[in-house]
Amino acid sequence: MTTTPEQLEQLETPCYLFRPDIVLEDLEALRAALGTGVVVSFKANPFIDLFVRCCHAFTDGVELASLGELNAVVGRSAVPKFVNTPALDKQLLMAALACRATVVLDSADQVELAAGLGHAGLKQRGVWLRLNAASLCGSERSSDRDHFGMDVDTACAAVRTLADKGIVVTGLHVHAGSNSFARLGVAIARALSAALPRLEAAGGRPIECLNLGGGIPANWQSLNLDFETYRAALRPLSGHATIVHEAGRAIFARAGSFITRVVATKDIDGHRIAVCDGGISQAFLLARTEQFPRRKLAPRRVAMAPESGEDARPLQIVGNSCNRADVIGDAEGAVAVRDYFVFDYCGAYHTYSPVKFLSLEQANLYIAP
Amino acid sequence: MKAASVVIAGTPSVSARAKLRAMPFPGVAVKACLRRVPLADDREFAQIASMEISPPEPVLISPGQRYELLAEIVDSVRARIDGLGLVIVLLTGSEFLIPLPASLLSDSVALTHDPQPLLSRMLAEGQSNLVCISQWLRSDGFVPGDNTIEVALWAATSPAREAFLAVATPEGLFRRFESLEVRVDG
Repeated sequence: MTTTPEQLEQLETPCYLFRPDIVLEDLEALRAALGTGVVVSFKANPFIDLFVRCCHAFTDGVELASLGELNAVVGRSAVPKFVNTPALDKQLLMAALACRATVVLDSADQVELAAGLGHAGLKQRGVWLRLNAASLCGSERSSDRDHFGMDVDTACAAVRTLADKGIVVTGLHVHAGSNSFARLGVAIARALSAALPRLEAAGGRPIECLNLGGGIPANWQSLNLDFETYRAALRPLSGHATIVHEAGRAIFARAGSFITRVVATKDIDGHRIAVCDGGISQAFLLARTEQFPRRKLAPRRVAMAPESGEDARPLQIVGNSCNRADVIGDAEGAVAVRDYFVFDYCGAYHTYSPVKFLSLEQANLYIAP
Repeated sequence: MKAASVVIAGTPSVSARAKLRAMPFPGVAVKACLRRVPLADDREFAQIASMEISPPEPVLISPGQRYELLAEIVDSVRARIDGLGLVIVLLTGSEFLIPLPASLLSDSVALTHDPQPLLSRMLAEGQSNLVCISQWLRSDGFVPGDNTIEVALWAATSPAREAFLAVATPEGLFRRFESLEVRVDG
């Protein structure tokens, strides 16, 4: 994402700058790579201004995981809505049904809740069930295990419980987690092909739609992922049901940049430091919050004044708090107060900040021209 | 309210209609301004859900930019057409917290959800050179419309009519729009 000094000077930093055209481009590219529809994960970028500029293209649907997310989207777009959270309660379930959303049930308790409601919307539209990905694939790796969804036996029982109440299971959702595509994508497709006959037999009818999640990484377009093999693994399923995937970082990451401005520079024993007006409080994911080193981010620097000379010494970029972990990047070359640092690939999950340290303001959010 | 539900009876002396097909302010970043609607009860959710538009035109502007576009047009017609009467602007939407530009708050501008009664009354009173700006520009998901704008001159006197035609061009009044169509009555 290019940003000129003139464009940057319009912005109140620290801020995020988002480009709707890149969201639309990457969504379309991902659909083509997967050969299926793609449901957009709203949690990856809950910026409403960006949503309204892109949602006309979110025709396969949007996934929502809380009442707040439903609030942000309802009324603004008629695209299919999927409500999917292990914390689904009656209030969210009723709100989702009022919005004609499809509810993805995550557990036997949620199945009991839905079955007990006797809601006409559930009988008209049916529900989806979420399957636990590691259980489905038979993976024993601890990094694959998570607390989402059900095992196949529980899901089969759920199908029967719901059928007894006149509620049809119309879809299944499986998601193995972030960045899992290369390792588990094909395994999930094959495991679901194997499990599907049991689940359909439990309900006595075909299951119409399958959401295989995705776990596609943010930089998927530069990773040379083997989509051809994956599409081949989908063929037994796609002849049987409509296949979709779900994506967040894969379509939002490239579309957003975090921008912060240098407010001071200093030198400690020859180590150069640029203090910026934004850091851990506005872009938590950039900060070095663990003992082991996170990936080093080298932002682009946009100089606002003619440079007085090169400086080859390493430069540490720090944020605006007095937290030792508030180190957000590394750079080289000259730097001066008022220069900007632009961190690209910050379009997904970056706007969340768990830190309200020093009562620092949150980052401003902008739509790029 | 659907875009097509606001229809003005009668025929203006001259009118021009154009469509927004791209973000109209190149190089200008737009600060976030849209907010969540604080809903809790499922009846509230159902009511808001019933407003959803399908298939929608894309949202290309912010609420503030919609006002800015309208203010630009009001300023242009005011500057270029002598003897102009009231400028009536159709304004719908949900953006009650966005400040209006000064041009739209002028004594010579009327903002309304329904131009027809005001326009009919003023025409009946024999007033001339009335401008009616009808717009269906989407600035939020809640705002219906097809991203078109129509600027019409009613009861035009001869010099005003020529001045309108001179300004209603892709380089003039509609420089931020595309697909311009100009209609002249008679």
